[in-house]
Amino acid sequence: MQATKNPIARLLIHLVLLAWVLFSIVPFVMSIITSLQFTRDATARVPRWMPLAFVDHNVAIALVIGFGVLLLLWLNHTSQSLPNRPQSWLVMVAVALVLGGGFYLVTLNVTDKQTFETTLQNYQTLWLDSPVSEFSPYGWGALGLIGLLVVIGVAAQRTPYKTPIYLGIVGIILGIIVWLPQWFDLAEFYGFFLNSVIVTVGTLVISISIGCLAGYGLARYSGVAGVVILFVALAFRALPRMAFILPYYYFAQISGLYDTYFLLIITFVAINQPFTIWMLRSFFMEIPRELEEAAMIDGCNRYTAFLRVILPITWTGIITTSLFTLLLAYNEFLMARLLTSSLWTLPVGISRFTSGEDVRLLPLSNASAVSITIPIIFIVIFFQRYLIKGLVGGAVKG
Amino acid sequence: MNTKQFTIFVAPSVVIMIALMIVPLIAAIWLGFHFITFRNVTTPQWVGLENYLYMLGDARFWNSLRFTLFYIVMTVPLHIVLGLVVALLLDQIKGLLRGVYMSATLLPFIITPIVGTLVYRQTFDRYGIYPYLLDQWFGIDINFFTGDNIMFLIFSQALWYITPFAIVTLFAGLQTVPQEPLEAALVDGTTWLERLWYIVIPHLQNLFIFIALISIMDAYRVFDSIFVLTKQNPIYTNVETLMYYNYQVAVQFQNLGRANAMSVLTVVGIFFILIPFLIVTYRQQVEER
Repeated sequence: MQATKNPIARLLIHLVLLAWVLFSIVPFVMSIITSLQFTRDATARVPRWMPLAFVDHNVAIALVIGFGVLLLLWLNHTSQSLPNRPQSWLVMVAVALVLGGGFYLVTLNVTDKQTFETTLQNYQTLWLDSPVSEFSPYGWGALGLIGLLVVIGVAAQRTPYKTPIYLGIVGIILGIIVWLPQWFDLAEFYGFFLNSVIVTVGTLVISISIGCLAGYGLARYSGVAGVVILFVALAFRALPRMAFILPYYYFAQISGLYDTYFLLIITFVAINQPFTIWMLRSFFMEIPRELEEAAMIDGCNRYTAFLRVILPITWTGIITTSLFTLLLAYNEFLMARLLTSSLWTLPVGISRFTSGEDVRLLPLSNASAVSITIPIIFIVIFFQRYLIKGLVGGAVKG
Repeated sequence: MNTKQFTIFVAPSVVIMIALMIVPLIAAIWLGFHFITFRNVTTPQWVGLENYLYMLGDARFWNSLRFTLFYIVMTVPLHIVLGLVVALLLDQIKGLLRGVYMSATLLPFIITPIVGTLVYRQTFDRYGIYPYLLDQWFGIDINFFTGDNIMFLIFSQALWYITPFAIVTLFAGLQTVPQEPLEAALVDGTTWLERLWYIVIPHLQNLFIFIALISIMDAYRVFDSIFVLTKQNPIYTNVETLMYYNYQVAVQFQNLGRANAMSVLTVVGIFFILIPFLIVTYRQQVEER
C-alpha cells in the first residue's frame, strides 16, 4: 500500500507503533532494572526505576541520548536517500532535543523515592560461588579473548576460509563453556546454562542433519508417500506435548535413560522434526532441479550431487532452520522439567522463581531472567535477517 | 528421484518419527488402560477403561476444555486483527526506524516463554509498574490476581506473546501485494479502506488461514503462561487449560494412567478442531504435486 504523506497521519502512525513497542518491551526493561536492585528497592511501595547514577550524571547522559537519537535519525535519513532539506534537519534536531532534554527534565524532577542504587550483586550470587575478586584477572582475559574472536570472525568474512574459521570459533567458545567449571568455582546456575548449551547444540546438530536429508528427499520426490509423510508430520505438529512426554517418561524409566542428555536431545529432535522437514523442504524446493541434473551429468550420483552441489547453496535455509531449532531447544520447559531430575536446563532452573511467594527473591529471579535472555538477544541480533526470512518464508508460501 | 533414493533420504527422519511419535502415541493409549503412579512406573496394573471413563466424567476436565476453547476464541481472531493493524502501520514506515520497531516487536515472541511470562507477570504484580501507574494517574486500585481479573492477565499476555508472529508474517505478505490493482483502484478514486477490504485482505487470505492454523495449535496446548501467571496456585481453577490440568493430574495427583488417558482425549479433541484445516492443506499438497 502507498505510504501516506500527511504529516499528522505519519505522526499518529509513529505514536501507535511506539505504544505497541512500549507494551512489548516494558516488562523486559523493568526486569533489567529490578535485576540491578537491592531487595529493599525492588520491594519498595513506589516502583524505583531511576538509577542514582543516571541522576548524578544527568547532563552527560542527556547529551549522549540527544546525539544518539540524532545519529539514528540521520542514518535513517541517509538510508532512504531522502533530499537534504533544512526542514528535515530541523525536525531531527527537534526530536533529539525533546528526548535528550526530556530525560534531563525527568532526572531533575524524580524524588528520592524513585531512585535506586545499582548493584551487580544479584548476578554474582546467581553465577559465582566465590568472591568476584578471584575472577577479575581471568574475567578481563576472557573478555579480551571474546573480543579477539569477534575480530577474527569479522575479518574472516572476506577470506575464502570463512566456514572453517567460523566452525573453529564456535568450537573454541563451546570448549571454554564446557571447561570453565573445572577452573572456577561457579554456582548452580552455570550448571543449568551448561546443560542448556549441551542439549541445544546436540539437538541442533542431529535435527538439522536428518532434517536436511528428509527435506531434500521430500522436495524432489513426487510419489504419494511424500505427501503422506508431510501430512502426518503436520498432524504431529498439532499434538499436545503431554501425549508424548508421559510415554517418554515411562519408557525412560524402564530403560534407565531417565535424566540423561541423550534422552533430552533425542526427544527434542523428535518434537522438532515435523517443523524442520517442512521448513527445509520449502528451502530445497526453491533450488532449481536443473542444478543437480547438471551435476549428475557431470558424473555425480544423487548423493554426491546433494552433498557437493545442493547443500552448499542452501546455507541460508539451513541457518534459518537452525535458528528456530535452537530457539525451540533452548526455550523448551515442560519436557525438560518432566524428563530430568538433575540435568536441569535454564527454563527449568528459573521455574523455581515462578511461584513468586518469596518477594526477597525478586531481584534474583530477574537477574536469572535477564541472564537467560541475553544469549538469545545476541543470537537474534546476529541472525535477524534469517529470523525474519524464516518467519516469512514458511508463511508466504503457505 | 526414484523411490529407493527417496527411502534412503527420508529414512532417518521417518525412523525417529515412528519411534518417538507414533510409538509413544500408541503407548499413551495403552498406558491409559493402566493404574500407574510416579513411584511404581515399572509395574502398571491393568484397570481397563476406568481411567478414560473417569476423565470423561471429571468436571475439571470439561472445565479445562471449555476454558481452552474460550482461550482460542478470545486470542486467535483478536491477535490476527491486531497483527494486521500493526503490520499495516509498519508498512507505512520506511528505513531504519522500521527495523527498530520490528526488533522491539519481535522480542516477546523470541524470548523463552516461561521467562517472558514471568517478567510480564511482574509488571502487574504487587511491586509492578502498571498497578502503580493506574493508581497514580487514574486512581484505579486494582488487583490483577483475583479470580476474574486473572483472565485479563492471561489474555493480554497471550496477545503480547503471539501477536509478533502475526505481525511479521502479515507484514511480509503485504510486501507481495500486486501493485497494479492498487494503482488502478487509486485512479478510480477508491478510499483507503475500500482498497484494504477488496484488494489487500483477499490477497492475504491464505496467510490468515496459515496463522490461524499455527496459533490454534499453539493455543490449544498452552501451558507455560498459565503455569507462570497462576503462580501454580490451586485457587485459579477457572483458568485451567487442558495441558495445565493434564500436568496437574500427572504431577500433583501422581496418577500417570489417568494423565495418559486425558492426553489421549485431548489428542482426539485437537483433531476435531483441526479437521477443516487439515483437509485444506492436504488438498493443497496433492494439487502442488
